[in-house]
Amino acid sequence: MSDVVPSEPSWSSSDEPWVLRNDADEYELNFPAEAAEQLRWTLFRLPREFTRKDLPGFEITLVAGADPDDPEAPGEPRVVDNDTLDSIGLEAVAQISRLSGLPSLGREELARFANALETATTVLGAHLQISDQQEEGSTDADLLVGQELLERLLEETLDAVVRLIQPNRDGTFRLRLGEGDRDLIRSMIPEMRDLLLAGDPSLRRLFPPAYGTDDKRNAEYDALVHDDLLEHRLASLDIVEGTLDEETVDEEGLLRWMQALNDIRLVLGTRLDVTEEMVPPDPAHPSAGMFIVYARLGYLLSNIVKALRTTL
Amino acid sequence: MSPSTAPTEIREPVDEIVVEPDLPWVVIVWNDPINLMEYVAFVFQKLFGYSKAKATKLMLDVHHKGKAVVSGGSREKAEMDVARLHEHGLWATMEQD
Repeated sequence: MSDVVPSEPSWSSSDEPWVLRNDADEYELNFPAEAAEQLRWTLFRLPREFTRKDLPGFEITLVAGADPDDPEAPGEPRVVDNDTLDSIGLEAVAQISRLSGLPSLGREELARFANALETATTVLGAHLQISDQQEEGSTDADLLVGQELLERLLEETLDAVVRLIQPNRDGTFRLRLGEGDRDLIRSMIPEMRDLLLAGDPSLRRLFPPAYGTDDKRNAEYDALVHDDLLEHRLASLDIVEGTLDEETVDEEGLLRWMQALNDIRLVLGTRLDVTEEMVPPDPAHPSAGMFIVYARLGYLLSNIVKALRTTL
Repeated sequence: MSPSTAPTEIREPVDEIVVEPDLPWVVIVWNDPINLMEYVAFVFQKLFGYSKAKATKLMLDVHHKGKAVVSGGSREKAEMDVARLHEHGLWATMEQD
């Protein structure tokens, strides 16, 4: 067959986090085997790629501290010559090799790792751009995959620092929520419980009619499932309330967190009359506070969904 | 399980009252401005076992076209799917195809 499309590397669709924070607050690299293999190969190739050809002076932006000759240089665009570019790239590759071989990285090492990754992708990007200009279509497909890998690794590294819900290796989840977020959720639960028990009109998105405009069948459906749905929602609130100060929850617990926070968000969104084009209200507007809670719940929910994706 | 028991002879009833054919039902999810896109795609994957690609496509159909058929089958199955979607806060309805 002639038109075989190169298949995507299997790591590109993996939802597993590549960098995990352990109980000692250090970071452990957790690549899929194929990505680790690809990284080794890329780090082996890059030094040769960097010294293989002469580049004209190249304007690049280096992160602060990336230039080994001038570690104090701030990260700003400047023109560097070929030798400088190569030595910067080689230093970054050496750092990535060294740091990725450690069993765990402290916070500073992780920051250095992220900087080295960013530098290596920048230098590799400069080389790829030049080889494409010099000989059209000569760009090495393997190096493009290597570039993609380094970018993904950088993204995963940064993600590990800001991730609020982290999957643990034993299938549980670590809740890295601050007191502010925990208190926010704590304050919403009794109010939500009252609304559910009172059958408030702002709950209409939680109990939609199943049969459109067929009132008779809607009533039958409602008689059949309403109580179960209500009970499930109240139970989810209880579970969140009971685990609110925990450091760890299991998968079933986190699924209930997801459902409960989404329920609260649906009620707030209904009350705020949210639309897709909506812009945040002026801080002086009476609904500004509610909107901030709504937006923060969205952020927490997004973190929960990202964590739960690893269970699929 | 394998059908290991001997086949039972079933006598077809004759002169049965003609019933309406049991048309399959479809489950539709409608766009709403509140649910997060990544949440909706996750729920499709979780509830129906769809691949990430299929779940994402259905989610984008909901978002851009206003609705998408996400599952279907007998009335009982469709009703159960609708209830599970409602449990997750999605705006789902069902209708006969």
